[in-house]
Amino acid sequence: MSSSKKSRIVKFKTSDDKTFEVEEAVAVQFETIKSMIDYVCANDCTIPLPNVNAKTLAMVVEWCKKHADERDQLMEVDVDEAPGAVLYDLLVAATYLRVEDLIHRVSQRVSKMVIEIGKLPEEEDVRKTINIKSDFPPQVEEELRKLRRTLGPLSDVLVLFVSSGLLE
Amino acid sequence: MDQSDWASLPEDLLDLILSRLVTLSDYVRFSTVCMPWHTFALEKYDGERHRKLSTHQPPLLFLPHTRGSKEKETTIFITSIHNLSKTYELESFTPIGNQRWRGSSHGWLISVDVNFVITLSNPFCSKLKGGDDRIIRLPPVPHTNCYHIVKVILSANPTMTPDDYTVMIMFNMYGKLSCIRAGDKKWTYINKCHDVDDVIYSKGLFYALDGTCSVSTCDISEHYPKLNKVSPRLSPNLSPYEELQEIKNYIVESAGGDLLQLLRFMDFTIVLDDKMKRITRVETKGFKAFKLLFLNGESEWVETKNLGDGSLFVGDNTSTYVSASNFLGCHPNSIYFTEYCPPHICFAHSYDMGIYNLGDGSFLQRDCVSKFLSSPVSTSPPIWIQPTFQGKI
Repeated sequence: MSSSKKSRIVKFKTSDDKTFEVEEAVAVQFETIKSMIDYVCANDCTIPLPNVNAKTLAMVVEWCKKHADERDQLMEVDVDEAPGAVLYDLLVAATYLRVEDLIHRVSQRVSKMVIEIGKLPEEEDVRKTINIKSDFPPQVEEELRKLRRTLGPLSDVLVLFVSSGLLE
Repeated sequence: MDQSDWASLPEDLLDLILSRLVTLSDYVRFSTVCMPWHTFALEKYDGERHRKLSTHQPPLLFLPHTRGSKEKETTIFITSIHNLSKTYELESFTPIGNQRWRGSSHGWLISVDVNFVITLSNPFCSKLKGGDDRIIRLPPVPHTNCYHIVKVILSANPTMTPDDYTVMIMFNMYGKLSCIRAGDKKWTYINKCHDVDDVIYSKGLFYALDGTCSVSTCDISEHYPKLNKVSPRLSPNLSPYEELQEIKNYIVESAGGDLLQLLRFMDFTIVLDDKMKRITRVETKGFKAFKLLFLNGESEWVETKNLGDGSLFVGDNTSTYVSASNFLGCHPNSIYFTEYCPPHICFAHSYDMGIYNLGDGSFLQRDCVSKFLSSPVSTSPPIWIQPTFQGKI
């Protein structure tokens, strides 16, 4: 490869007004802006990202830099430490930039957490982790809590109770 | 600062999360997170999703009991295959007339009363939302009574497709078939059929297994539906001991679309009950499984001892195949069975149930039936029933 063809830099401006310089090799993984890279680089433009803050973009960039086989590991570490808000930002950013693999990983991770909500008796803890509030009527919420406590892992029985209208 | 708002996550992202859920239980858990997720889960629960989730959801066991103290009242208990010795009380009601439970199909329980009226009722439907979507009464079946209706099979869950389902019944001792489509006033008899032992529905066709162990299809969209043979006879090699036993046949479709045929071997032994009265006890001795294979354009039944990931549920329910791997506590390569013999044959209500391991021929949970059924007294067999999601909070 000739030296004139060395990696170009794509500039982004995040929602919290920070400018980011991202290598082309990473930026091409953002499906949304892939087609505009040539134009942007030739005209020295900055791409605004109104939905993505600097911290999240840094994570997305980090993700894209890793090889596919290292990503699993990154995801494990990040997600275990990531509170729900970070996971949420990551999902919104990944969708906005259209980084398919990341979208899938995060949604998978969220699915797992959702499953945990029903498994644990103290489901509020998990709801806190992904930062979500229950807005069921208090009596429904109390009924759910009671069922989880008594049935524990017998979730398929829970299926039945939930759907037989016991919660009404 | 908290900017994240999971409850108002865009629908396409929510759908991504939903599509990662494998079992029906997980799907229900998703729906119990918050109101918007509940609404979304309900909205997205269509026929395709239902089918996908059902392949990983083992049936529950339905137990209608009559308690000694409240003789007229029947209480429905339910138990999960996680722990067959623990039961949960669902609801109590007083049955109308002399109705008898006749199995289940697609999450609907089937009962037949003395006027030959078949009723489909859905225990998973909310009873507080009117009652109309919970009960379907079919026109009476001419020239038959409730003991003569052997099995009832639905082509689809009427909740999912209220205008497009067919009910097939197996009736009288000669194994005849008759069907009725949603909205029809009259039953349609199936021509050229006799001696049918079991029926399932798959991809637009009913598959009937007859006494010669061969399978025929029935296309009910035809004006005069009839049976067309699609498999050779099965001539299994039986030991002299097996020859002496009562054999019952079942047909099941595997997750991969293979047709399976099960032979179930049963013994009737005469025992004395508590009051030293002679009664007959029905006992399952084992199963044999055969797979329909296509070789050089010809089909052939081949015995198999390995159903892989499959758990099969047979009895009065529509025979069901479930992939065990995604469900904690579900035994792969096993057959979950129930059996009931009424007093006019056995001089008492005789039940049998358990889990048969096809690989090594061992039985599990053989004693759970006595735990369930000695007290309170039940006049109906335990029935496997496929749960469906109809959560309405």
